[in-house]
Amino acid sequence: MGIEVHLFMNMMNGLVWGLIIALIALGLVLIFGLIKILNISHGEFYMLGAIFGWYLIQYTQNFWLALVLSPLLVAAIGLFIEWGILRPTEDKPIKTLIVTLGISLILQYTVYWFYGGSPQRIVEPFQYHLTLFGSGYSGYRIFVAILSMAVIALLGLFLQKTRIGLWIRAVKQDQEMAIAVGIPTKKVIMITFALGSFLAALGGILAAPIFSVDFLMGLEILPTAFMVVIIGGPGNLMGALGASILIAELEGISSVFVSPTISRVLSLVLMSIVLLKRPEGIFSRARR
Amino acid sequence: MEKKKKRISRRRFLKAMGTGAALLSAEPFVRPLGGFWAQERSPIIIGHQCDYTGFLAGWGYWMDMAAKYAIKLINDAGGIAGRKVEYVMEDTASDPATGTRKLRSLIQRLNADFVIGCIHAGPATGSLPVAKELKTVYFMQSSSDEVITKFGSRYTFMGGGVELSKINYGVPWAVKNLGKKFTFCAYDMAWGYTHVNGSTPIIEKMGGKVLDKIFIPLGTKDFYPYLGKIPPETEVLYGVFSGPPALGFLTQTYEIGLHKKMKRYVDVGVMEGFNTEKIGGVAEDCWYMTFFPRRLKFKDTEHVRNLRKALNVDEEGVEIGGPQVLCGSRYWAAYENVFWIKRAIEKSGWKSKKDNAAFIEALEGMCVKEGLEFIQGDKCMRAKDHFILHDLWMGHIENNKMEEKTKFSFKEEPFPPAVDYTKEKV
Amino acid sequence: MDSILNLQEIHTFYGKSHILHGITLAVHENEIVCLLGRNGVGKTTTLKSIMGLTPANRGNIFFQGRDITRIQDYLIPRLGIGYVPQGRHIFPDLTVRENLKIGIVGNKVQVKTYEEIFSYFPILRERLNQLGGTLSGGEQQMLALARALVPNPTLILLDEPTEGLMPRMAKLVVEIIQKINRTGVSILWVEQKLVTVTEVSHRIHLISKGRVEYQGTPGELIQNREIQLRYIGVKV
Repeated sequence: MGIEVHLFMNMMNGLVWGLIIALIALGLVLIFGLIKILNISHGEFYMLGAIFGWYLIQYTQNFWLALVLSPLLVAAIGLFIEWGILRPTEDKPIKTLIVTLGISLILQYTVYWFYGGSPQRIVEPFQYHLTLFGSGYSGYRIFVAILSMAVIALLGLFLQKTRIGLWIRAVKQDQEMAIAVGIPTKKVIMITFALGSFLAALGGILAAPIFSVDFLMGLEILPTAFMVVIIGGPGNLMGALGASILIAELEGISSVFVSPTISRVLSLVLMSIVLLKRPEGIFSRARR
Repeated sequence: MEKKKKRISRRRFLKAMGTGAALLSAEPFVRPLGGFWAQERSPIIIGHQCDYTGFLAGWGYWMDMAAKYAIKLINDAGGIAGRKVEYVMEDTASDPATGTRKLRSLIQRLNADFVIGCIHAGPATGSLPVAKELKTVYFMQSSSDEVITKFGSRYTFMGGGVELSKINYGVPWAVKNLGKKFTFCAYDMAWGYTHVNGSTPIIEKMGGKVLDKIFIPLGTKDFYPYLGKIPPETEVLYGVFSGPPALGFLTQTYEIGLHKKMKRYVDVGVMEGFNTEKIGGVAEDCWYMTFFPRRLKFKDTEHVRNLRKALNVDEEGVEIGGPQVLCGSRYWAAYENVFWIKRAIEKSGWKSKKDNAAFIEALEGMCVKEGLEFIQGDKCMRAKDHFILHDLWMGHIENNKMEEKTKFSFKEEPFPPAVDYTKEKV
Repeated sequence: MDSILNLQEIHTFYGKSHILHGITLAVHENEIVCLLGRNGVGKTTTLKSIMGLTPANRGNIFFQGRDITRIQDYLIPRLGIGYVPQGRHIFPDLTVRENLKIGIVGNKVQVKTYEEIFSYFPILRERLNQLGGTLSGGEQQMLALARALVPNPTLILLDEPTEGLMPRMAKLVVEIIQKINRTGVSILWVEQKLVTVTEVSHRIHLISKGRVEYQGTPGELIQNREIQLRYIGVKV
């Protein structure tokens, strides 16, 4: 494979992977923006998305049905967790760290109990291979990129154009004032948590045919998602989207020239520089 | 009224917790006393440092059951030298620091006389010196061979399959049958280097060529960026991965059509733990070296059947009524380790840890025959480096099934020992 | 005259510290009532207790005869109470239009049209698509008032609405408040400076250490130098 082809493949791929990461990170950022908690259990919603997807496909043989149902199920679980478990501790950051860690372990090992430790695979809903510059490229990956972009665009429209979207933005900016203008803040938080869980789960089931499905996949994705949040700026949605693609592209492009381990180190270096020089995130505007 | 009720139940709960905590903390004091009174009739305690949770949970699950079953067989037949065997297990959580701490707990708190180690190389690395420090015989399961030659001691034995055997039997076969131009794609960790460094001289000596060595960081999910580096003239793609990322490796090499252009030759770690029939065909035409077949039909003996029945798996190695898939390559080792201990105790007349020297000497160079105690096959515990010499199988994925094609019966030394522990004083 | 808002023996705590020690006061229809006092005596907490933001631990709050002490916080503004907090608390990353729209929460309320709003605050017409955070202090104050006014409230709570404004702007804000009041909206106005409210308020309550210590008309208070010195420490 020529270097230009390899480069092109890796850029393409960085985009796909970056968009999947973005689905996860956007949920994390949405939740952090509203209740300022570091949700350690967020990765588990990604995992649950894939796990529920796997079970649904086992029983229905229908990937598309699973693609819709699984994130909805996970959103319902997210709703319940926020309402039933997180809410009493939301104003105490240290407690939420411990509580979300606990939720994370409970979800992991509940899944282990039913699903086992063996990884499984969800087969792509269609097997279409493009030939790009003489090398194979999975059509499913391109589908994932397009769908993720559409979902992220819809999320943007939802936040900008709908009443609940307006409420979410208002609660993020000034929770007390939001109450004082009559916004049901607690419900908004609950909905946002469910929305974040939905997005992570969608990322999980979309990623499943590319990687694999196992009970610890959420744990593996979490550091990357947190890295995105740090580089993009906590609470900054556009920043998270940009950072997701930036990190994925950085790793993809640099791995053409240096060893994979070094390219992984590069993204850590980037994060450290951002933390030192622009702790508010690389994409933050100067204002405020 | 309601409030009152609640308070009482909470107090009762706290009380129960307190009692529990007191009992737990008293336990270390109770045990040695028991040992004092019971003297030699006290049980022999075998500890298991098991990867019961965390990313190797799919392995630990079977290792735990296999060890327990072996001990049950021994106790049903009257124990070892008239003493019952007791089993204690601690969970490494597949984490190096935790795992090492748990080894201390097994030996110091639970008074384990012998310890069956974990599969994870991380905790094993930390555990080897601890075993020496606490003068306890430790059977390592991890396949990072150089870990035990670097950090091991006379107290530590390779309890499971030996990676260098895989390499020394498998690679020559691959060069002869699959192709001469190799590219490695391996985890950037000890295990990956064992394969790459062990195989390269063999390939080159046989007139083959190593085109590239691609080391991939642990935790990689997306292999695309690295797969692009594989030289197109590669004939054999040699993969060394385990767990969920291994499935990603298979899927993604398949996606971009590498399986059509070259032979995929992998360590069995790549196949271990998942059902090859349920992954959409991405493993098709892969070759792999394994310590033991997962499917019953390739080693169908009475004793293998019994163990598999105890583990509750079907003939294909899938849990009956459950989600787990048997780690066919390794489960036998935890079972056999218990019997290595039994044999060495019987041969040396071991009574307590004071007799460890005799125990170790008895074990060094011991050869055993296949049977109830050693279901995997004949084997020898090589004296110098404490490695087991054992049989291996070469398998091939055909119609999504693992088909063992060639068996390598161990004959003489497949590779020379790197260390000589027999010179070390106990 | 009917009282639209009635506070009876309100006690409020911030964690363990006792802030309000039994506030009792009433606002009648069409009235501008002022709550005057030094820093940290519980003026803002009184407003927040009414809004349910720092709920009263003891005592009762009646709005239009209905006990609202224990109802859910976000439902209180929906009853027809507008709140203009100290520091204005404009949503900085929402546009002026969104800041105005956000007050419309229930479908039952007859809301004011943009035209009605612009008749009070003509400047907002030009700023409609600007982010709230980019407005000047005076403009933000206008927006905060406008935001409270959109859902057609019967009572508006003001927390030092002229604080930090240039005198000309402050005067304009006071005029607008009077104009709003003349359309039948009652006002409870928290203030530090007596001079700001003597001209406009109908009654003044002096508050100190979480209690109402004096009440009277502005005229009476101006006469009473001793009370002024004791509770606000300034002369007119």
